[in-house]
Amino acid sequence: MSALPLLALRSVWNRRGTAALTVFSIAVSVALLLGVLHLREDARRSFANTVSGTDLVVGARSSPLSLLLYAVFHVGEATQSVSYASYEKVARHPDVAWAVPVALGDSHRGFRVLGTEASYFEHWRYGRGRALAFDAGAPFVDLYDAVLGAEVAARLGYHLGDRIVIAHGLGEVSFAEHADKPFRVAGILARTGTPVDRAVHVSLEGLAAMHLDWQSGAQAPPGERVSAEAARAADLRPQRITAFMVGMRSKSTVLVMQRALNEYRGEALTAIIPGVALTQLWELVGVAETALLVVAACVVVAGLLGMLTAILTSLNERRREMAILRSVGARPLDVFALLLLEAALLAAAGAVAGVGLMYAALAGSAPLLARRFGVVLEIGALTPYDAALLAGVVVASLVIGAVPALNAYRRSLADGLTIRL
Amino acid sequence: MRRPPPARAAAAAVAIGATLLATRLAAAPPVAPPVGTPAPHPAPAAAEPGRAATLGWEELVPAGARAGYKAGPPPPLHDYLSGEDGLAAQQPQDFAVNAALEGRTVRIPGFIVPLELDPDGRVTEFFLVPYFGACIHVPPPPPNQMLYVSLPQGLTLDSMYAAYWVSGRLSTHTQKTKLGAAAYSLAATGVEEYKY
Repeated sequence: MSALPLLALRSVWNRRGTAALTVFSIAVSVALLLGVLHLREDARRSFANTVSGTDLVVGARSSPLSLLLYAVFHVGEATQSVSYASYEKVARHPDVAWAVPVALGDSHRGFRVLGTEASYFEHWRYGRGRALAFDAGAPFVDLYDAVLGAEVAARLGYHLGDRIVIAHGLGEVSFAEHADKPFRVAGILARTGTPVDRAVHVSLEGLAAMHLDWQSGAQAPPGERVSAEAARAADLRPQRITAFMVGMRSKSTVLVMQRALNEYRGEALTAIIPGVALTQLWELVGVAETALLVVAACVVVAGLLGMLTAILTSLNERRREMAILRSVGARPLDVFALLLLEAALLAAAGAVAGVGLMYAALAGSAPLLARRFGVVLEIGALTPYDAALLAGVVVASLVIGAVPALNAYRRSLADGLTIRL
Repeated sequence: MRRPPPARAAAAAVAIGATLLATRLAAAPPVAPPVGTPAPHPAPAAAEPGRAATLGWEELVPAGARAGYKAGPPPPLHDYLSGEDGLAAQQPQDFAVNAALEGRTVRIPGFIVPLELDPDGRVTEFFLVPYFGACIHVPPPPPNQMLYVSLPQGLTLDSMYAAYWVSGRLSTHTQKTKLGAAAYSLAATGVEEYKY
């Protein structure tokens, strides 16, 4: 009996061309199933990790999901801006502990520029209430200071004191740059694994200074431009922001403040509780996730059926092999076991290859997902659930393998030795 | 030569695939109840020693104020933010809490409004409110009709439409806000889905 695994291995090796194809088809299907599961878990973790300690996110009237996506995850764009006066009004409310404005709309080589106040670094929380930390430098002080997220600094090789030019608009390249007002890198944040890593933070006043001579939508002609130094003397009070984050003194006022903001007559606003909006996002995405999962599971079934077809087809060619085995003393049960082993071997190889394939695909797609969707993949080890699924695939292959095994078991010795004409 | 019936093989394979999926599909969100649906009121049970007493939402209102209590959305609060710098005098509102409940271990059903998620996406802090839709479509419940719940172990919430039983130690605490001076919080020890 102990010779059987080796025999199965050798037999498969003898047919390695078709076996490799079978293994590959199972590998692709397993990689798809595990990839869908991992992507779903990672996306959830990434989203849940991004915002903490913020009671309300307030923006112009829009869908709660789109507000969450553009204000917190820096995905997509706001349809409208919020007046700074509304922000100040909320910030001064006696039940509000803190409020931080954010202004989005410019970029630096594909990374979003976030205009805010220095208190952002104090109040913004991620993970489970973790505060932002500085790897180097400090929050911005000067009008033309910028604080870089860890990914921006690492990818573009920036250090403290470097000068960067901010571009108008959100493309990776821009043909409208604020080259006359470069910013100095004043601080670099520690890595968070959230969209903060991919942002360039500047002061609202810095953003206002950049846009002084852009009031018509394009830069003023050279003679009328405001120089970087002259801009310091101008009125740089912010007028419009994209959104603001609010922390309440008491949790019991969160719902009432949300209601009051949504019904605010001074301006059409939308206030969302990040936890609620995230749950809504998952309710929405959950349907698509389930559909993807069903498709992925069907592909695994198709992969296993492909294996069944391959083994059944090979049986005809291997009548002689089986007959020789029987003639040298293999019992019918040995033949049965041999074929079962072959199925298990193919499925196990497919599962292992599938895991490798999935990790390769995740690693390959991680930078793209981070850039396009703000989802930071944390490529972790296999979960017990994954392991159970892989074991399930092998067990399923044993069940499926029983079909050809039974077939071969029933055949008589004469089947392969009789020469049919 | 005999061949296995292909139909049998296919059926076996499909059955296996279905089993793999069954656990995932079982978690499909339940059908949403209409907005404003009140949470079912449990029959007020006598407190058993050593076991959490089931609490009804009306018991959160002090006994003296209960005569005027209506289960349903409270009147809207329009002037929380409007008026001079949002500081306009608030119409007097009495949201007193039932001091008799301080420190009691209770079990109460309601809907979850998630506030804080842990990095694995589990809800660790939430409001428990008596009717679904308390978060968006109707004015929020007053402070004495919601519980601020902390649940260290977290809850994987697939749908805000689902009602839950939450048990734990209830405490009342005072705070100075424009809405009144008192509120409930619950240190939860257990959460289970409410079965209709």
